[in-house]
Amino acid sequence: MSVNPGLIERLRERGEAPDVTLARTYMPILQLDENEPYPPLAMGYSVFRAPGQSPSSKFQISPRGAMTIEYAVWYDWDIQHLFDLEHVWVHVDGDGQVIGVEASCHGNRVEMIAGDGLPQMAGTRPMLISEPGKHAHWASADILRDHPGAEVGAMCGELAGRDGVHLGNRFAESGAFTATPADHRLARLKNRRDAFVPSFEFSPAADDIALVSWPELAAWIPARVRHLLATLPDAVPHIRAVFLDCGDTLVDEGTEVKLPGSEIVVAGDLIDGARDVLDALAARGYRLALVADGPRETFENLLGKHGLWERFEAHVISGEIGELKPSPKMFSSALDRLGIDPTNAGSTVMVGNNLSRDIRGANDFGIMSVFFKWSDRRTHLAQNPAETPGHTITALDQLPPLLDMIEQRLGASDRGRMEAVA
Amino acid sequence: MRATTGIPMADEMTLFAVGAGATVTAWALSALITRYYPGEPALAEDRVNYRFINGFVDVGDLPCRIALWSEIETRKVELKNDWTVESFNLPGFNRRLDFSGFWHRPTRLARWCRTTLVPPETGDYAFRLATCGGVHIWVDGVLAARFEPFRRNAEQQTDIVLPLRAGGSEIVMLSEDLAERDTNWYVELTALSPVHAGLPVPGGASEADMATLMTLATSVRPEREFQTSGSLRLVFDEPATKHVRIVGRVQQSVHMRDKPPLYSVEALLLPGQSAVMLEGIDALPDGYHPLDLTFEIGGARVERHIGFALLRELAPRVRPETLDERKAEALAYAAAHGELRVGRALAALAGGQPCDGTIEAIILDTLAMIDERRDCSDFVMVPLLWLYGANGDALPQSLAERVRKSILGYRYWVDEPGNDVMWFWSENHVLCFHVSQYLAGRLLPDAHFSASGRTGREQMAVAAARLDKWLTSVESHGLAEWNSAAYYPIDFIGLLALFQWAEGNIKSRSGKLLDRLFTMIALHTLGGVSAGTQGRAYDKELRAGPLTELAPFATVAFGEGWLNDGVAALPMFAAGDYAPPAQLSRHAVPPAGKAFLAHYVQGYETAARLALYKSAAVQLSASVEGGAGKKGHQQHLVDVRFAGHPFARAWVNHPGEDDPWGHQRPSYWAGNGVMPRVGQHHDTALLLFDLGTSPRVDFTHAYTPVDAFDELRLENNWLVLRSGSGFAALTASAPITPVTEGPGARCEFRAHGKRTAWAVLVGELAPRAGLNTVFHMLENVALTHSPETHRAELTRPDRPRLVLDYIQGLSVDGQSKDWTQLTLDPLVTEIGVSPLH
Repeated sequence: MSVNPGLIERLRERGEAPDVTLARTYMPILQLDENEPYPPLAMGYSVFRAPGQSPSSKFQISPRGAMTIEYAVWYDWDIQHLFDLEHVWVHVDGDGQVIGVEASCHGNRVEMIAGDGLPQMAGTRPMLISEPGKHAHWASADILRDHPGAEVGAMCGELAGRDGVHLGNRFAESGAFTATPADHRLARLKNRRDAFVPSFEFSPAADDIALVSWPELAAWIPARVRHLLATLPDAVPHIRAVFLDCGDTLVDEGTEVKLPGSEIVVAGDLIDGARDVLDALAARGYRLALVADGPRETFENLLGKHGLWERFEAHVISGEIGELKPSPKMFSSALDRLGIDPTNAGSTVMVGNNLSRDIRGANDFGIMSVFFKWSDRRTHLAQNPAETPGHTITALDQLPPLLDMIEQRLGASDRGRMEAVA
Repeated sequence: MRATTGIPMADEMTLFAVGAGATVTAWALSALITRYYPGEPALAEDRVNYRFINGFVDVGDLPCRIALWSEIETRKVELKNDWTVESFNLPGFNRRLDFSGFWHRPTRLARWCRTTLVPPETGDYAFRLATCGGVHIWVDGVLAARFEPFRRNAEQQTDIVLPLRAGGSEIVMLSEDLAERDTNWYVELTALSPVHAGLPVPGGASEADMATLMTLATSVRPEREFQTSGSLRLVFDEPATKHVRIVGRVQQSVHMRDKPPLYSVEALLLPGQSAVMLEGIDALPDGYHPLDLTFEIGGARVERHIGFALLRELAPRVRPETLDERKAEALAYAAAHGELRVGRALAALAGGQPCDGTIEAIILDTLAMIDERRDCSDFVMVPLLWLYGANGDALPQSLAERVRKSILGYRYWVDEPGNDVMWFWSENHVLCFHVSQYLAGRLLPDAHFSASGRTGREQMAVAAARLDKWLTSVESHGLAEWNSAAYYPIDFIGLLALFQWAEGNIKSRSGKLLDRLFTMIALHTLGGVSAGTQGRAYDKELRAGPLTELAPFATVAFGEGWLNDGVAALPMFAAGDYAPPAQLSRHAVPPAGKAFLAHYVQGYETAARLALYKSAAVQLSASVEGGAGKKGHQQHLVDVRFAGHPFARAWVNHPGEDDPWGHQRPSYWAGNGVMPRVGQHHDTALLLFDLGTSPRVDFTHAYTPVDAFDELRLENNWLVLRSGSGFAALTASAPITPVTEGPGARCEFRAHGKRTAWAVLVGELAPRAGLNTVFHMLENVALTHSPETHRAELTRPDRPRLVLDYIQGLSVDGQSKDWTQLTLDPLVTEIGVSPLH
């Protein structure tokens, strides 16, 4: 049986490294907000008995006394991204007394002082406040609360998940891990699900943080990130695919030119925003399938000429399938070609302009339906409940924020089901 | 005496304590120094992508700013001590030394400032310095700090150290900025440890006089929220101790600041008096007027800028029955009473009047604005082109020739060279520039346009392609400046001109957008006043009742309301062919016993989700979701409007600045410093504010002008308002306290706290029911709020339970109130209204 190297247990299994007793003696106690979703998991220490470059941060270390112990603190998540590595530096004199504590705070190294030149101490261990969601260090809760410009609440709420997967670190920069657009989206989604209102009441983190040498932690982090990325799709309910119609959804049917004497369309203009929306969906890593009625040549001509044919991972076209929407065959084929189990149809979305074909077909199949109410060439009135769209948009720029909203609600049964306004 | 530096002795100074964290605001000021500063003419990069986020596209740096940065690299600024003190800035109403304003051309701004800082003992003292422009500080004649970010309207901060002497050090500061139209020009100097700031007491005044001036400037406000005639009574919190000379001026509107004041008056505030009458406001037209005040005792003088509304008839006149008749009435009114801008000339000529001296003077002023390429000249170019096309024959030949010359010499877009600060980058300006180019080309197809080098025919073709993009964008995304009383009239300038003068597809598309605008206006106008949530709001519209440029459009379109002297676009509506859909009148004036619910979205990527509840007596409008916790701009999010009185309006916001009379974006009343989470369900709105751990302003507040309501009472933490048969009840999770002093007296109620919930309920009262009826109903209504989870819950008998969660948004009886229908065209439904008995 293969062993997943990204599990925290793998780190705990490491043998005792030199100086571990020393590191344990001065190990910082981090105090977390009561609503903090992301506790620290591990610390990687380095002991400096002479000046030197920190192995895990951009800073030079100059011991003020006999030694400085650097703790690189690993959290899986910051409220705005996956990957978070913070730092604490404890300066110790020849008598073993702590004579100074510095710590990372939004990219800076800041002296931690809450009176008498030190933060609050529990014996030899400094006690630091870990900023809600962001994990910047503060010497006391009062200092954090009084700090002007700290938009902690916004970062933990509206701005949660802003960055996706953090790539501005030595591991990603050296290629130890990377992230696809879908990884970024799912990371953002998880952060947004975890968005919270800080209490600004703090209590010590559980004392089960793995303490290892920095090389051991550094060796583990890439595996850890890869593990987190690999488990995200199952951990975070998300939209598994977006199915799009073509005529009057991406291409203006009013501009279509047909091959004389045939039903094959040879040219047509894109609807305003069609390229933008496909770019936006691609940037978010949505899997896209074209689900359209007509001969294949039509769509190759229309989308190919605009360079958009290749944006779709699958092309499900009635001319090839042999049936038109709302036939379930069109939708089952789309799921099949993307390798999505039909039981997960409820986490896919169909976008189209035709109530009796796109919307009815999606609704019947249990796919979420989005009606693009744009052209007047088809009716806007549902003839029966099966044609009633789950959602309606009137411009393509509305689709990405709508998918964001749908995705945030997926799997959130405690938050209630969708309800139409008006 | 310290003769070498001219430092006054401490006993000749008025000393103001500046605690740690407080700001130095006691300054003697030079006159304002301005200099036209265009930089080298250049082509600007055309960054307009027709995706207007918050109303703008990305701007880039203009030639004037590039020139400034180049100059700063090499310049050396010398200390000047020979300037005359023009006025004083005194502590009281603003933690900043603030000279913000609007300049139409690229302008270098400078002001010398002097104070004396007296520390507890000699030593180095740390200060935090914040500005958007540039600051030099000399201490006792030696340059101690130089900070020159010059980032347009974007505050930058630095920490500085000033070496101060125990007996007091003279501080001379040069504050500079570069104006490209609206300019946040200020200095905020925060002491990080306690000092005193001292001002020399000028001749003829005493230390007590300085304190009097400070109090007067801080507390001055009109006695009433609106004036109806005669005199303007200003009131103060404390009586004067000496004779105070007061000078008041009302300047021309922002587009005509180069003209003499509309109104100028002097008055004397006598010892013991706490109010003064400014006579002669009868000379002014109806309007919301900015009032510049100077208070003077001896040689000591302070300035203050406030505003007031003047509306002579609080009940609107009966308007003619038909749209055509109302258009004719509006045209005649504009021709006779309109502001002296090109719209008045258009109205007069369209009404068949000959070109007289007034019209000629207006046109010459308009041409000057265009020839100098002042900011906003595109707004007057469109009606000028209309006038030239429709009534050019009525102009004297020489004047017509001058108009033609100005048209041909104008800069119509950023791809034509220039070094002006014309604003090409907002939703409304983009339209007006394209329409100008289109009309100019259409009217003069064979002429040579000097800035572009194109013929008129070519200009029209280029403009048509650009207009296609603008129209497509707004057709798809709606308007980022939704419901804006300031900017819908500007959109009308462009769209009405297109409907009148364009052909084919451009004409028909303009007509459809006009229909959409009028639909939104109909929905948000009540009792002749256009109100509701807005994408970009200013105090001058929010507090103006029907005195906005927008309100008369509703009057003409729907037959109820006021006319005023605004001529930005109304004469084009009145003189033109466009007619709004007739059925919209029903939305503007709801039938008794009914209420409309409307939902729609506006702005790129559904920037705003708008909810409306509207009955014949009261309307509640909100922009929900989006941006909670972020720094706000000019978004006016929750608005209540009553049919019973033109100024009966209420809203809740977080102040964006200190000064109740300030003009920042966001300001004290317009927009939000920190955006709240908002939810609305039918007649109820909930707001959750999280101001952060150390907010600049640590309260949220409600605007409820007492003078506009029939009844207003605060009881059991419910603030209840009644106007006619409409009522609103507001409550908050923190104690609501009335502001009893200063500009907030009689209109402001505050709730202190960093995490606060507000609830706003509206409804109608049965005949003879009053506030007691509302309070009786409220006995069973409860707002609960948990600051820990930041979740508010409102319960009311026989109504669904509303929960607003700061993270999750609104739920109604446990179901998330998500927006599944994202449509730009309002979804309107009608429900019955049961008045409270």
